[in-house]
Amino acid sequence: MAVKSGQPAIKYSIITAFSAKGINAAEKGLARLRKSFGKTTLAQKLTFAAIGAGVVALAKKAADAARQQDKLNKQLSFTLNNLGYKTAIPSVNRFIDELERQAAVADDVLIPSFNALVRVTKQLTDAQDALKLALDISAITGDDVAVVADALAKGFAGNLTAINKLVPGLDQAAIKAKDMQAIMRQLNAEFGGAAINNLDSFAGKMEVFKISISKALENIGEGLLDFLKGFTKTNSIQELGDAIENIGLKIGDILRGLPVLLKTFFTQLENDMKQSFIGRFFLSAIKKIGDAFTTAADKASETGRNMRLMRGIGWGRLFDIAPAKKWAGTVDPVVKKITELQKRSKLQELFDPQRNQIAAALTRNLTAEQRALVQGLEALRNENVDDDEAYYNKIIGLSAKSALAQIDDQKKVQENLKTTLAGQLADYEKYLTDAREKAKYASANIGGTTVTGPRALLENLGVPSSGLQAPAMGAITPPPPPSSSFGAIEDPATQVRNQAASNPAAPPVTVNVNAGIVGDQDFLVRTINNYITMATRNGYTTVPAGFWS
Amino acid sequence: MPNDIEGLSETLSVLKNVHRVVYDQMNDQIKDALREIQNDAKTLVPNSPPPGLSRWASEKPNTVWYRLAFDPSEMKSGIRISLGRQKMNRRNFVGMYSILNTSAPGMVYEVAGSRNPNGRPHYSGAKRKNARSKAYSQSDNPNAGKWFIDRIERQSGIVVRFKQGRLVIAAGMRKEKKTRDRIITALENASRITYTKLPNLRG
Repeated sequence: MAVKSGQPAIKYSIITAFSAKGINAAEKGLARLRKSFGKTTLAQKLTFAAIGAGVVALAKKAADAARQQDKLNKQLSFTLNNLGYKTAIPSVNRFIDELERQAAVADDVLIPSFNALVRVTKQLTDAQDALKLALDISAITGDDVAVVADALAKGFAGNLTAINKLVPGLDQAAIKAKDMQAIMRQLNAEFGGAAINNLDSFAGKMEVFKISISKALENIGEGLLDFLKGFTKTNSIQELGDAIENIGLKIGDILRGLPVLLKTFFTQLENDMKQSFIGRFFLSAIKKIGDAFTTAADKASETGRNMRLMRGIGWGRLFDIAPAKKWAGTVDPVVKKITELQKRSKLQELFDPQRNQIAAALTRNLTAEQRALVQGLEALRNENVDDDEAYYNKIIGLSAKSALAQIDDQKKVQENLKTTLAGQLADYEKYLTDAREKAKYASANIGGTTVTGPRALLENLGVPSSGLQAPAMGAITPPPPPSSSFGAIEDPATQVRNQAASNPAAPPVTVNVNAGIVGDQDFLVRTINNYITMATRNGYTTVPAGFWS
Repeated sequence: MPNDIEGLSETLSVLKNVHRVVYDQMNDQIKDALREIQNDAKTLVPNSPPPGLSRWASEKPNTVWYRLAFDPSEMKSGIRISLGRQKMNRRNFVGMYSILNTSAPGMVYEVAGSRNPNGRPHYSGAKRKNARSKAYSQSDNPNAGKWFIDRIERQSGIVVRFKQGRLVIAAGMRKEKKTRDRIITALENASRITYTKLPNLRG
């Protein structure tokens, strides 16, 4: 017995099954989200915008690096020019470049530091030594190179407070005396070569790698700037930056409009090809090839699917193997589809009035011909032509047969009529004979004389003995009902009396009826009257001649 | 889940839609298999209340506790078999073929003492005034719960803790493997018959 939903119960499940209802719902929701996301142009916009933004960001970063490098170089050149070291600019650049690779410190840090040092020391060699020392101190203390270089520059300028704070333990006498050379010697003794040693570590190598990347970026930027300069014909870096952004936007726009471009291209190509005979020929060929590819792909996919299912199912152990799900997934829609079609066809039959009328007609009691006509109407509704011809032949045959049957029926009716009439005549003769026999026992008192036999009967009936005449239609009164009492026949006597009253000359008639034959006589009278009536109506004459004699 | 069969729901839907006669025959066989556990569980139902708990069986109608009164016939009739899908648990598993204990006294007898072996704590001992909730004993007698569980344990001879039980769960644990094998055999046979009768659906 099923337990109602929600009814509390303690259950012990022998077999459980995994229900993917929740997971399927989640997957369905995600798929729907993915589908809707794929349909909207927002996805394309986001994708292309991301690509475009990436390209623009990379180009902008490279260009910024190149622009920053150019700015630093110009600052250094300006300083060296002012100090009279214009010819040493290339060598200084080479020095900074090598130092950058050796110490794994970016040149955007080295150049400002060297710039500050050379402005204070006024000597290239001192500045170079101080910069190397700053790198060593930075490698040990962990302070920024720019900060250490700034402290050294201040020291060369006579302010040793900063370097004293950065590097504790310096000779205080030298600091008080502001002897920078002594301090430099002490610092060299303490920190010299630290930067190179630091490069042996993994972190140091990574720093070198970063420097290489940064140099590569600068090179890319320089190339890009040169490239853009060639495009934009400008020497302004600011304008170049704007041009890069514009190019990024243009790339994004091109990607965004790429489907339109392809669609326009193919549409235009198709239209152009339709213009010429050869173009139309190639177009039809291309379409045929495309159709063939589609058909082949469908066939291949169907075959592959069949192979996949056949491989998975095996001998029919459906559960606890994964392909059972696929098999069930294949069968379920088919069964559902068949069920739906059956339901639909049943429903359609309900709303088919002609079919309903035909079905209702076939349920009635029809002749074979009528049934064949209705079935022929049903056959016309089918698409099968053979049954139409069969029903046509059947209906024609049945029509002829029914016509013959009608003729036979008429003949049979005539025969029946003849037989009936002959039988009635025979009965009539029989009853007449019987009446003649029974009339022998009738008796009547006519004029005081007792008369027996048919004469007496006729007298009782008031019929002249000369013979019966055919009465007119409807003139014959129906015979009276038989008397319920014994021994009295009133009506024939009344008739005789009436007749006597109408003929005063005739004596009164007294009827004495033998009690033994009263029933027969009454029956006989009625029978004769009936048959006289029937015979008269059927055109027969009355009693045959000599009958009463 | 140890008793899980992958693809069972899909298989059952296929059998049901494709060959209903075979499906019904399979269900009959599975019912027969489950009926063994059902009958076994019914034999575990005592015909009288545990000694010392005679008043459990004499709760009067129209009282609060009448619904939980000890009634062996109700307890036995409340043990049913189920071939339908039960409510899905937190791990997305549903019971397909289960034995159910649906009567209120049957459930009480089944799991008495599983959570609180000594009965629910008395609210007076918990120093909580007016704390007559399900977390605390409803009786004025602080030892009522322990007495109730002890009597049942003595009569049944089964001490229940956590997920254990005295009627349905005990019978199910006894014959689980055998019943499971019979059910799987019925499933296999029905699948094989359906598969062989529908060769056109194989590919």
